[in-house]
Amino acid sequence: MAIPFLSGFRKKRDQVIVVDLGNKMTKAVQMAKRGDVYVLERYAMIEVPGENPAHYVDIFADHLKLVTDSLNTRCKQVCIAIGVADSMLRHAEMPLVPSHDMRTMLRYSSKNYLQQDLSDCTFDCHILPPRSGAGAADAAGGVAKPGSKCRVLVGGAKRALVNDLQAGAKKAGLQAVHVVPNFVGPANAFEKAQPEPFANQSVALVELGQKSTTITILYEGELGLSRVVNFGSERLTQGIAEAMGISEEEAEGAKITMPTDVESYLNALLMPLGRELRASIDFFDHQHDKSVSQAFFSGGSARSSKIVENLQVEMLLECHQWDPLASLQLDLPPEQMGEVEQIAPQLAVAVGAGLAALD
Amino acid sequence: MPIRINLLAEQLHEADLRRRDPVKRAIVGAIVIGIGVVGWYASLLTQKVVLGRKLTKNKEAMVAIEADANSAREALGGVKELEERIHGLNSLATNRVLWGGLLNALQEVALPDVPINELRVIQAYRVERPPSQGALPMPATSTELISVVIKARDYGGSQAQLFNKFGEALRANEWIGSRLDLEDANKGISFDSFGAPTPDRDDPNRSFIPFTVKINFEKVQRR
Repeated sequence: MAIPFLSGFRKKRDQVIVVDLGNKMTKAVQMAKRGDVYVLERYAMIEVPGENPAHYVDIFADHLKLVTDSLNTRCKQVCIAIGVADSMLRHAEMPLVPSHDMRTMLRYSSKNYLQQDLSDCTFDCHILPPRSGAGAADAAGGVAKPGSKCRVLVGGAKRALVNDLQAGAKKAGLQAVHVVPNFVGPANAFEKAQPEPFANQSVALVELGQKSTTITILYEGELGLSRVVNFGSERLTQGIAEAMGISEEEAEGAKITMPTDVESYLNALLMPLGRELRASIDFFDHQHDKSVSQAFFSGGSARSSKIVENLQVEMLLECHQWDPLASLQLDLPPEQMGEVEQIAPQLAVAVGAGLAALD
Repeated sequence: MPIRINLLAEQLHEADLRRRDPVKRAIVGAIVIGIGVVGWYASLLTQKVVLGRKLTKNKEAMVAIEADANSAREALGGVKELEERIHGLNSLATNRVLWGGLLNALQEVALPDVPINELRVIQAYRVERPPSQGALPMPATSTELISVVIKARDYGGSQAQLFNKFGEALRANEWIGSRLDLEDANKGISFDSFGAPTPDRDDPNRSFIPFTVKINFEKVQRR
């Protein structure tokens, strides 16, 4: 039994394991906060077993044990980032009440606020700061009027899934302290890695996943839009394999090394993704009357500069690869230090979730 | 500021509420108080044991010094006796009639045919308590009266009247003369009685007149 008198003096977390549950690979990092500096202490890439481990407590517990063994850590607090298929992230306008009340309101009347019946889901809210000249806060002194509304980002997932994740972590000897929709990971990591464009520009963050790609549009330090495109690197790999008549394993390798004969097929394969991303950006431009100036790519396929260049042509936008670890101090074992640069784009979600957990 | 969305927030909040359950708080409070009481009792027990050991040590020390204490007590008895003796000597020195000066003076005034048979000193104190004057009590006074009675024999015969010479010699003596009560009617020396001439038992050819002379010394008044 915890001692309630001491709960008010709970120590702030300074070390956490973050597990990004992907479709093909689970990306895990161990991060720490030393003073004002965020430190990457270890990372691990574990191939996901056949079934999505998040849906089965025992498999998930075993998978977590495997992750912690790979990390070779004694840290017990774990933050889990769940994929776009299992979570949602929406904008909503809600009365300015404490977060707990907001969550209760969403649980009982999700239809009112999210236009969808999500009574079997669990939610959490992030209150967005009021924009100048509008919003809940009083312009005169920044004091919220009673009963006024505020803009919130609502994250949600099936309650059963969250409970299973918590139970699995417990079974693996860990304590789940955060469950985060992976939409927010790249945005959080980008804020630290590229503070200047984050704060002053409208940019698109594209996370190229195995089965889907997410695009998150940030404008002036705020998450403006997030969307999932059902086009992932798996489809790209299959396309290359079919076009060149090679196996998927060979196509996976070719996707990274990008020989010249693959490049010729790449444009056609990436065209649907590029159009979808462009459409999302246009939608945002139209809605907010803000033009997105740059796009930043992360994820496994973002390691290939050719893919990014091809998407730049499709999206008619300046596209860059970015390093989610740029803001972190690296305190990795020597054997990991050499290859961290290669896999850094894949750690954007995990790093972003870790930054939020440690902040 | 990073976007903080934690889908476990609901569960953590509920767990926090469970932790803050007043019944649990009361139980924890009771446990803390219980531990405090037990701790206090333990500290009292410890104090008791420590003080008990101290008491035993002190008792042993007392037994060890008992013999020394007895000898000291005996020595104190001796000291007390000595003090009493000193006190006695003191009172003897301060309260008695000092015979030295008187006997010396008597040997100076002694006449060959006037032997002294008896010498008696009368020392008395007359205490006077005057009545108080109004509310003020008056201090009492004590007057010291010292008289020396000398019984002697005059072998000079009735013509010689050596007792008169003896009386004059007494008055002329420096030590006695300076202490005589001159306010007295007899100026300090008076002959109280004279006997009839009596033959001496040892030498029947000689006879003597027994007489008694009284010397009154100066009265000393003390407040």
